[in-house]
Amino acid sequence: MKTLFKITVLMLITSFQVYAQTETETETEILYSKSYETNQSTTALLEFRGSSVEIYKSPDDKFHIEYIIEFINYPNRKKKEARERVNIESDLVNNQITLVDKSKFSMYRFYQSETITGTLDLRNESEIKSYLYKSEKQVVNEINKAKKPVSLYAKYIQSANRYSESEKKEMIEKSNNRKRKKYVKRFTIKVPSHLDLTINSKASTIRIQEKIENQITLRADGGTVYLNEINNIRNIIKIKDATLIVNSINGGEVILDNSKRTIIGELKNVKLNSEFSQLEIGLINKNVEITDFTSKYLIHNFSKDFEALDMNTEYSEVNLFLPRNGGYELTTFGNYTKHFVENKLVEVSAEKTNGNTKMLDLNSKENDGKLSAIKVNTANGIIRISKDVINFGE
Amino acid sequence: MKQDIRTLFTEEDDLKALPKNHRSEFADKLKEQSKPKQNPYTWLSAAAILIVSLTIGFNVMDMEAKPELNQVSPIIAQVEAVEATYLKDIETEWQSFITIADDELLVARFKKKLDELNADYKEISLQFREDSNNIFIIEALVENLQTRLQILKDIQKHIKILNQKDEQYENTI
Repeated sequence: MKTLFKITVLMLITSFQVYAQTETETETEILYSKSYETNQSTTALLEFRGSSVEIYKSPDDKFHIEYIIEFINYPNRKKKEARERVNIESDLVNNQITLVDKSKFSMYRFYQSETITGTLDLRNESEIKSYLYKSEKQVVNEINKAKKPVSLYAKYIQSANRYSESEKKEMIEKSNNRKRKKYVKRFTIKVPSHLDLTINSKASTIRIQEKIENQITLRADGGTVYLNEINNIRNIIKIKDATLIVNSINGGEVILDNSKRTIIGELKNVKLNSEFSQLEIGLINKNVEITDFTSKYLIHNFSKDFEALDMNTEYSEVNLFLPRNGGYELTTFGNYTKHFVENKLVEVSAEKTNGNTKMLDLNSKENDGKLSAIKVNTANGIIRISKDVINFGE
Repeated sequence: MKQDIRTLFTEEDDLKALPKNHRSEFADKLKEQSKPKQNPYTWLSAAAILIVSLTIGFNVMDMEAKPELNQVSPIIAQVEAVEATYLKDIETEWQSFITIADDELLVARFKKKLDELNADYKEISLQFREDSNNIFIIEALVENLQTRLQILKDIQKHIKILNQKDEQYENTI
């Protein structure tokens, strides 16, 4: 009888724990909500630090701010503390809306040793052996996939090379089934189409979910920026130590400093200035100019009438797949640059320093009379050109 | 008052006759007494087990909810160990880079970039002291170190490829 009782108590305790692990309780609260009337000359200055921000078109002429907190399996006794860490200020002065997130930098607690180890293990990145050509559609699919939220744990496990693929899958599934206590905070901002927007963010995730025409001045220091289609000739996008994932940029200037991952679906009418970055571009459209120092470029496609691509590079690695639509002429000028065409070294006569000689000239065979020009000014560079596959055999 | 006590016993026997089933009754009583006594503390011990279990369970959950108490030190130690390893590797790569780079402007530009990254690192380290459990701060620290190491490795690889060309070119002449 005594033994039976003990077993029953143990079963009861165990079943409570199992039940607690499988049930997810989510509770959403709006912590801040404000709307401002705007006119044609209203501007907005938004400052974020460690924030998660989603920006949409406003359904009316008002500027809407909403800040929510989502508690997931979070203990009631700790919710108050989480709420108290939120500190948001906004105002409308001299026709400028300001919004500042002064909340304490308080992402949910994080003490999974494997995730920490994953973070510390990131340097074991596998070396890429080749690049395969991707159609514009394939690049867009990758962008859309990259935009889907992934847990930090999954991100680090995926990037840790000490696990096999099956081990990674198993660990992530196990983690997904585990009950977590956390809270997620998020801004939802709705912007009228006439409003000029300035965003300064640090270690934040900024998502502009829709195609927008607003003038945007964005400075992202760390974190990740996800954009859909941004169209404005006065746009300025500055990315430092951050990731940029964007479907299309039409107009303006993009400045990248140490962006380890930038994927751009399409570039049109853009001046791109980069250093110490890695970029993958799905499509080069009209009027694109690139200036770079020590970055790695991978360019997949050119639009039929892109007319001209100008690149000025120093110590850069330019990998490009030849245009598939329309005639082209590809010319490289400069000095001391190594060229690989269809994965074979092409010897070009070039001075070691200070020269600006013409080094390589490639023309499309299908010449319909109108050629688009790819002009690469390069010093101490590596240029790889291919139709389908770029191998790094050197 | 002398009397024969044998007569007394004869009279007693007449007064109290033993019941017919006295043997079986005696056996039943004996059996009943031999049964173990019901322990009055059984329920108390059960309750004690339950309380102890719940207390342990609650304490474990509470400790999980306060990671700073049992997690801070290992994380700081881990990050410091990683930092030491990276800084050593970065110094090695820097020495290797300045040996093979013959472009003073390139070396100066990399020196400037590494100094900028070092200044950023110091700022992030201050944040880490305040909030050592914040994964984003840890990530920023490690990425800063990784960036320094990676840009040095990348540029050396780049220069090696360029120099291979040089050797090849010279050989063909």
